[in-house]
Amino acid sequence: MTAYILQRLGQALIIAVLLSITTFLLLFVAKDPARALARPDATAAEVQALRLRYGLDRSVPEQYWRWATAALRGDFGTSLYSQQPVTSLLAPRIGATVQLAGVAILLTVIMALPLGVLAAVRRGSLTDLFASALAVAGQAMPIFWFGLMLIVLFSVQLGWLPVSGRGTWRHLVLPSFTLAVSVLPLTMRLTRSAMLDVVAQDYVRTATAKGVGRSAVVWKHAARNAATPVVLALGMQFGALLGGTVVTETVFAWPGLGDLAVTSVSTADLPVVQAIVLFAAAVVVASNLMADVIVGLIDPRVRY
Amino acid sequence: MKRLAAVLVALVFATALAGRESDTLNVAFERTMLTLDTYATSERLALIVAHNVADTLIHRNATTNEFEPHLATSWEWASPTELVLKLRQGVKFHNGDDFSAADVAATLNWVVGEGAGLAGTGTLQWIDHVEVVDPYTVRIVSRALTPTAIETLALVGVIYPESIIGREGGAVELGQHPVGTGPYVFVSNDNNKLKFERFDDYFVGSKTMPAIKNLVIHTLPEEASRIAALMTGDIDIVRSGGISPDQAMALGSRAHAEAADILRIWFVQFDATASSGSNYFTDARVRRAVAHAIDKHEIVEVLLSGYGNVIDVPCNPVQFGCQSDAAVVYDYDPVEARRLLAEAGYPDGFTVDIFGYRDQQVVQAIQGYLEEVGIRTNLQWYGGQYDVVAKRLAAGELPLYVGSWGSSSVYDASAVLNIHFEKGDVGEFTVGTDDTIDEAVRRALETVDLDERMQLYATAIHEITNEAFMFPLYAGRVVAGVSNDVLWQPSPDEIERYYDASWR
Repeated sequence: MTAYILQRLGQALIIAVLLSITTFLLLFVAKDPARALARPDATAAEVQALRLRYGLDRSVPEQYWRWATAALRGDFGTSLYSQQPVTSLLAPRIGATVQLAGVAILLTVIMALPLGVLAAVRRGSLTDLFASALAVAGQAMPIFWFGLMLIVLFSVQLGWLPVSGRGTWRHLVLPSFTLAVSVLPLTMRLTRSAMLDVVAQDYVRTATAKGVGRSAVVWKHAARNAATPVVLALGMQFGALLGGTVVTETVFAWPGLGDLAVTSVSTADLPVVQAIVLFAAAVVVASNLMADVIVGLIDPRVRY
Repeated sequence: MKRLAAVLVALVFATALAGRESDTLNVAFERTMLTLDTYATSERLALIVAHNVADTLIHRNATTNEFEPHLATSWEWASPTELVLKLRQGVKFHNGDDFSAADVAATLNWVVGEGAGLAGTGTLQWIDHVEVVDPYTVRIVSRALTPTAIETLALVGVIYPESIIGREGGAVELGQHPVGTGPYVFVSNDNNKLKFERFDDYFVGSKTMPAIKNLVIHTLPEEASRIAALMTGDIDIVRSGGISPDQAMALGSRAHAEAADILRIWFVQFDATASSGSNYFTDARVRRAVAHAIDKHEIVEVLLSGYGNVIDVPCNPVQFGCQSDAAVVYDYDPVEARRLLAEAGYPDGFTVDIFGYRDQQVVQAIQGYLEEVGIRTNLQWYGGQYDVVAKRLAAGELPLYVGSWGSSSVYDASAVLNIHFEKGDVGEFTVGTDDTIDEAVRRALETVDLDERMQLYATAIHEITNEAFMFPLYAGRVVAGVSNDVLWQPSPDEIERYYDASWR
């Protein structure tokens, strides 16, 4: 297990380095950061002065090296645009995004697992039909549209919940539910098909034949064995959500990473964009790794 | 269990204190602001914050357009390049500092010195340096004669305390925690919510004492969410431009739309020099044909629901020197357009690239009109990328461009005409002009004689429209959303004065 984790961490490091090089190069190709910082009619000399001030005159590999070595020491530099340390810009945004993604994943688990299991156990029943319809609808629906419909119903018509922003738990309800509905279909369908595989197995029939109660068969014998693909999928989705959920954050004005990423890319704020990309890569790798570990814990057959 | 349910229901229904009860004006902006220092960014939102938190030496009255004394009580030109201003006494900064000449000199000298390259300092670069004459008198020395000096001081010249702007890293600090003498004191920036409180020691001057104690600016990037928040009462004002004209009727019963005529104008500009590699528009007859082909009245009425004012001048008629009667007018006449094209040697029309970056439906309508007379266009769309398209325009790479220009909120024809028609460095976007125009607009910036300037701009406007180097479309009107509880109007200069708002 330890060897496996170390190996995965090594892979993660390589991915992170490659990603950060790519972002660095892409940003330089797309925009000249000094030009983006200067006023539109700034003279060449004024732009050059800015370039010198921020070290943007050095070669791209040298700039990358300087950035990377500082980042290794935990220093992600200062934002070119707001002049704030990148870490202090990112910290509150990460908090907001983790909160939103965490609640969304929790809601997904609460809704998707029971529904998926029920749909499999009562295959062909009304419950199954309902679950399938929900999955198709959830997958087909554009997330921003769904979010806006929730706003129209719960904020404008009923007046129960605030439209946007972050503050109390009431602000969290609509955006986290919107996000949950966007990841729910995949999780539920995976749960259903994994359960279908398992309930057809001999040991389940044996357990039923022995006279074990139905709920014990379903939850103790079948569900635990069906959990592996579901946990892995949840891990991947959680990682993707943590990387920033631009659309949901935009609709609900949630002050998370996605919003900061959009703003920073449009101002070519190199250090901020770099840190966000690195963070997103790190959480994707970490949550996948976490999913692997959980699978190892619940499924004794899995040995790394 | 029942009690728990009751508590939950009560919690859900207990909406946050509506703005009025907590004496808080909630305003929605559409973008996140990473700096609140207006000198560090060309972002309009930072300029709006600056005018609510800080003050300029001279204030422009949004209704009369007159310049009024503010931090400066009087001013006069001691020589064509020396502006001497007497300053108001007894004014305090939010941090307790007393306002004096040293603050003016420190701020403006920083703007043209260390801060000179930054995106928001461009309009003040006519200043050479500022001298302290005595504690309440300053002398601003300009690099050359500058007819728009007062204008730009009123527009962007906010004054910061010397104790902050004068020290290392002070400007950066002001970007996160602005300090001024203005009507609202910055309190905090919490989760994209900017909080302000009335400055009870405010000197008022030409502004007003805020009637509403607290001001909170929220970032709501999505238009539909802004409208929903206005309908629920979470937001009292959606700033002008934050609501598109076709949504103005859809604000429900708790809010209404307020429109303001703004300086920005929309136009078609031609590459008359063939620098883009396309030589169709070097012939004035082709440019006039385009002008006759487009029905701008229909664009404004139908596409913009009336939120625009058709113009025939290549500037905004509210700007000094922008005289509508000097312009040559082209009526919508597709038959004449075809005749002109045939006369120019294109009886079957031609195909050309058309560039645009905002108001796509307007650009597409223009494509339709041109197609009618035989000019087939390929749309090169730069949506939201003004800086990219502007650079290509400046480099003369665009044969046909449907653009807009906001004049940096300067109420003088020079802010459009010199930038688009003067030769040399000043004419950043000059892609078609002639010696008559060049001389007229150049001389108009070398004199402060008002009659002479009017005459020179009349000459320039006549020649520009006669040669059809630019085909003016309309001047903009923007829509703000305002709660029915609030008495407030957006300003034509797009600098929103939230201190003017009050409860109905």
